[in-house]
Amino acid sequence: MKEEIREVISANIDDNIQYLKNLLKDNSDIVYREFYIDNIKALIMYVDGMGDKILLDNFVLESLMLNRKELKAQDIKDKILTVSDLKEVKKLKEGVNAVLSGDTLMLLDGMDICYIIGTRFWPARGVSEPSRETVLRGGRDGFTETIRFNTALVRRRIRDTRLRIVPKMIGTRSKSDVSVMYIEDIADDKIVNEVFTRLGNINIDAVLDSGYIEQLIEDNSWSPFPQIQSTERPDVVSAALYEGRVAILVDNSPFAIIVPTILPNLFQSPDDYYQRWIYGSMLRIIRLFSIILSLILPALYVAVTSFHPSIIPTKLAYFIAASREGVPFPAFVEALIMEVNLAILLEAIARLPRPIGATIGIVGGLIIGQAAVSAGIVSPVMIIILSITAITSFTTPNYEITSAFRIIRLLLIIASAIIGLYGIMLTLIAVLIHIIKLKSFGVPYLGPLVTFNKKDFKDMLIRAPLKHFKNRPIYMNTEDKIRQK
Amino acid sequence: MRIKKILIILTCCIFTTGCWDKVEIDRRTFVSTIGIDAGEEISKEKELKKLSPNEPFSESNVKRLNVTYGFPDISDFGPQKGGIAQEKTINVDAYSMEDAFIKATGKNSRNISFGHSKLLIMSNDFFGYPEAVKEVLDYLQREPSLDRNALVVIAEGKVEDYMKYKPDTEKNIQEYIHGLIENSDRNASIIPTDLNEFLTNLDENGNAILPYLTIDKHKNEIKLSGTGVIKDYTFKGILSPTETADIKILRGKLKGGKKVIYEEGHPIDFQIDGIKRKITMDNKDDKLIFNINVNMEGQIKEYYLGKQLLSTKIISEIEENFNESLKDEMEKVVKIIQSKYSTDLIGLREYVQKYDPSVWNIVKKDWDETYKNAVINIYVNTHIRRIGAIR
Amino acid sequence: MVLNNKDIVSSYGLFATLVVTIIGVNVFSYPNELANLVGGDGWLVILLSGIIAYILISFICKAEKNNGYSHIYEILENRFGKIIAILVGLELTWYSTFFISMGLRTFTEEIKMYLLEQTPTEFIFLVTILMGTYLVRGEIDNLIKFNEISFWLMFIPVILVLIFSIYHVDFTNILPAFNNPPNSYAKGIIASINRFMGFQILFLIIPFVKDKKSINKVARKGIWFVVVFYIAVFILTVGVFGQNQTKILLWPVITMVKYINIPGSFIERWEGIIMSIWIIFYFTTFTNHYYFASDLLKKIFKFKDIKLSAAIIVPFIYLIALYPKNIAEAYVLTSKYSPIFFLINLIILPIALLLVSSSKKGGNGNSR
Repeated sequence: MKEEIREVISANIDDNIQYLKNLLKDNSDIVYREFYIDNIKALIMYVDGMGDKILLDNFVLESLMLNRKELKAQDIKDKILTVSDLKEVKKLKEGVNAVLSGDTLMLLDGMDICYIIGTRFWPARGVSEPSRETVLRGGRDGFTETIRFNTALVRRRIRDTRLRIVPKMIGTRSKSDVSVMYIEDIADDKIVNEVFTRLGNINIDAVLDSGYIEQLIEDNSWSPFPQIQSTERPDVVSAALYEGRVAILVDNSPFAIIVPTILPNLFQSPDDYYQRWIYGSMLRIIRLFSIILSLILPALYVAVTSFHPSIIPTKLAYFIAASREGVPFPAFVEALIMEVNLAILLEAIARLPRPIGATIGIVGGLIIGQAAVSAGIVSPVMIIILSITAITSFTTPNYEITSAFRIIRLLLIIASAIIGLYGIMLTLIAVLIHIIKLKSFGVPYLGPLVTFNKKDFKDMLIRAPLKHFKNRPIYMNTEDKIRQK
Repeated sequence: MRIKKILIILTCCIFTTGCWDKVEIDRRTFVSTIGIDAGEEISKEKELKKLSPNEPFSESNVKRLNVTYGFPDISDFGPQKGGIAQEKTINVDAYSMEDAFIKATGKNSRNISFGHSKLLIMSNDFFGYPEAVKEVLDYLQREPSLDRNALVVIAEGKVEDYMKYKPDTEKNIQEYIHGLIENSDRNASIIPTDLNEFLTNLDENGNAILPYLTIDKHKNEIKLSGTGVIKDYTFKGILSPTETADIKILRGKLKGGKKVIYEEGHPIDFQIDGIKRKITMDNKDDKLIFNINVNMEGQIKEYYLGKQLLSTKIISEIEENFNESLKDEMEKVVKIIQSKYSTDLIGLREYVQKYDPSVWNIVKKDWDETYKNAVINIYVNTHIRRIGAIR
Repeated sequence: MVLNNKDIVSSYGLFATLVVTIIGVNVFSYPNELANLVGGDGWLVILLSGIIAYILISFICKAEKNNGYSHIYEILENRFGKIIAILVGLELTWYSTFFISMGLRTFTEEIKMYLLEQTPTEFIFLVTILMGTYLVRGEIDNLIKFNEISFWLMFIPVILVLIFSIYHVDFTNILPAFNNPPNSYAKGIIASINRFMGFQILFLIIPFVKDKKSINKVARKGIWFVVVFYIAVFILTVGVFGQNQTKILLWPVITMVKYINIPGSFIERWEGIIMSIWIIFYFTTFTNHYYFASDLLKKIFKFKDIKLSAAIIVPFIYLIALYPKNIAEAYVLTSKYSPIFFLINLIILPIALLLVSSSKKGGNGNSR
């Protein structure tokens, strides 16, 4: 049912007060303060817990109630009210929405306008390092749940006049504040327009987290690959804006989402750029290598032991055969058990309270694994593969790609159990075809690999020295192309 | 939508029929050595010729071949132990290699796999029957899973004895022979041959040389030295270790070895570090004259305490002596090969074929005769580069 | 998915597509065929065939240029009339389908022999065709991107392996040179010109190329790459095995890969890796021709998009691939019919197009 709020402000303040009290009845946290400025009746209305009482008491009520001069209506706003954030509003609906967002509504008898005083103040988490995106070098601030603090963190890093922070309100009931950020002369107009179009098409009642927005505007919901990057770090957002991407911040969510996103973005960590290029490149290569390993290692194990043992060196073949003696399950079932076990472990560790979580990791991993080997249920080689897979799958900075790879790993294991090495190759080709077809907001998902501009390769596998970063990424089709001279 | 339907059907098919090639690794037997011996009834070729191709029940039990498969026994290991296993063997009588394989499968609880076969032993008796040899060779070439890097050796007597031998330094015979062959870089009396070379040589001209394996039953020792010569798919004879070393030098493939001359009753041992060989050919009066130039480099390893070697005069004297000694020796060896075996082991045939095709077109019909009558001159040039740590 | 931009193929895309479509499964049996016909002089035959192929390609490029770079079917319709266009279009489709079905059969036989002995052939067919269909449904820009990426995926490992194999090679095995009767060279060229089959894919791509002026140069580079690659493979194979063994081995390149051994490396037998990479070789040839055939069908029957025509071709591929009873029959069919088809489609057709278009230059049609 659609929400109905009156738009007209009556000149009679009692009329307004009665309407408001009726609209927001049965709410114990809404405060109505009627007072007199000289002999004009006035009302301020705010939400207890969201409005800043100190500001109101000291600056609004004090300056107004202690006023002894003769007043005209206009003077209240211009000369008496010592508040910096003050808006004059003609529609009651806006005023009510402002109150529910934490601002204060002020009505004056005899005037058909109202004032909105910016008094948003609520208990908020302090700025701290995001737990999932730690870096070796770089800032340790992260986004919080208040959108205004978040935009400030970005604004501090982009003091350019061409940075645009465009507000939108999404969610018919939650009316969440959403800010779309981009740098006007860098981002491609087509992408910006596409973002606004898609946001405009959202017609949901509540947006509880940026994840809702992410899922409602992404290109392909069926693909396991995330097409939108989410991050808690302001420096990641700022770097993205400098490359011509668009960031979206949602109130109540510390996760900013960045579009368009290509696959290489999901493998980059900010400290690749803050450290010197040799270490940065080394880290990149190690990361890529470990990702590939985590993807194909279990499937390769199944294929090699069950189908093609002639590929591996003879001694290794003998060793694996010896270590699998007496193990009741075929290699395929072992690999599946391992995969399921890993998923359960991770989920359990994520849900447990922090001190117990670390212990379970050790217990689950080491002791249960060792016990399983001693009991002869799994072969020791499988345990090694399990641990290598688990460790290498966490080298990605982005958590969602890890989940994507988990799905693909499962598919690969199944494919390799059916037709061995050929199955692995076919599945990899299928995945390749899929990500070739995938586009994020018009930009091909594989980015530079597809457009094959040599200059883009400076940031792909290795990270070229910063002196060579002269142009912005070509695949982003930015307007302003030069980064450095 | 269509793709989704097809996928569903496909998935159902997979789960109802199963994975076809899946054999768990611990259900496999990795044959590491294959031994081929003449069977008891190998000379019964005439009977087989009477069989026409469309006759029923062609499955005869003629014992033409005696095949032994050697493999490491992994079955008594659990997950905690690993390492090299004891070698076990399966011995079957069969009429062909494939039949041997089937019969062995019947005797073994696991799936026999050739993917890791490293050694092929053939007995010299077996080479007395060229027809059977050709059948076996066809199998060896046709079987795709056989590793062409496998080593081939020829053994004296029954192959089964060799397979059952337990060497001292290694756990099984395949490792032992492998090690011996790897040492052949230093020991010039072995010319290692892998399956690829063996098959290629036999294809080109029906000749091959293989390292020769002997067993001394009293001392319980296996020796690998000397070479067996195979011509036209039959076993012709053996070359002694010295002859083998010379042949190896003439082939240009020697990587290390030892030569000795005696001076004043004491041996001067010369270790060869490397050789270079060049062949040139002349064609005179329907006779082919081959000139082989051998350049040897090496160091003196042992002489006699008190004798000094650090003088260019002494060294060049020693070099001259080596040159003459080796030239005579090698020319004699070549004469033996020409007359006794009339088999070209040095690569002269390939030389003519490649570098002088016009001559080859003339001589290829009677190559054996031509080779027998050819004049082969050998020129040796020794360079002593190092003399060790003392003067 | 509608293409809004018509010129989407870069010159690298053209190069990659040309190379990847021509080099397919048959590279692995190529040395065998050549050794049987001309012994060690196979490299000469390859070179000559490459030159002939290049001449034919330049015919195609010129014919396209004269006709305003439009799609082959439109050219046929404009120059020859609707009926001939339909006939030739169907014939081209049939050629591509026949070729990939035979290729599928050969490829599956090789896989069954070296990798998966017991898996039923039909299953391997089904899975491969499915994967090809998935790619073809993505329209031409995805196909080209796939070609570009697979080019690197294919050739870097193979070239590495070839470099490592030099260790075992005896280059003198190529000799004696020029020791064969002259008509064997002619036979060799006829047999080997078939290995260059695949450049009809140019009919498909040239209308979409961005830089129209450099088409000839890029095609030349492509053919050179193919020629050099074939020659390298031939020389190395004969070098490792000698001429006589190469004559016997059905797929000498695979056997060579099994044989090489990089000392101290973790992977003892490279055949597993090479077989995997080589699946991509086949797959690219397969999908490119598949797309070409589907595209022609789409134009002939005026379908809206390529998904329906791709689906129609699927049962044909499956049935034709099943038709030969064994590998010998597959080879016989290929060697009997391929030269004829090649002659019609890749020699007569480009010449006909060239002659017709140069006589009616600037006439009707989509000239720009």
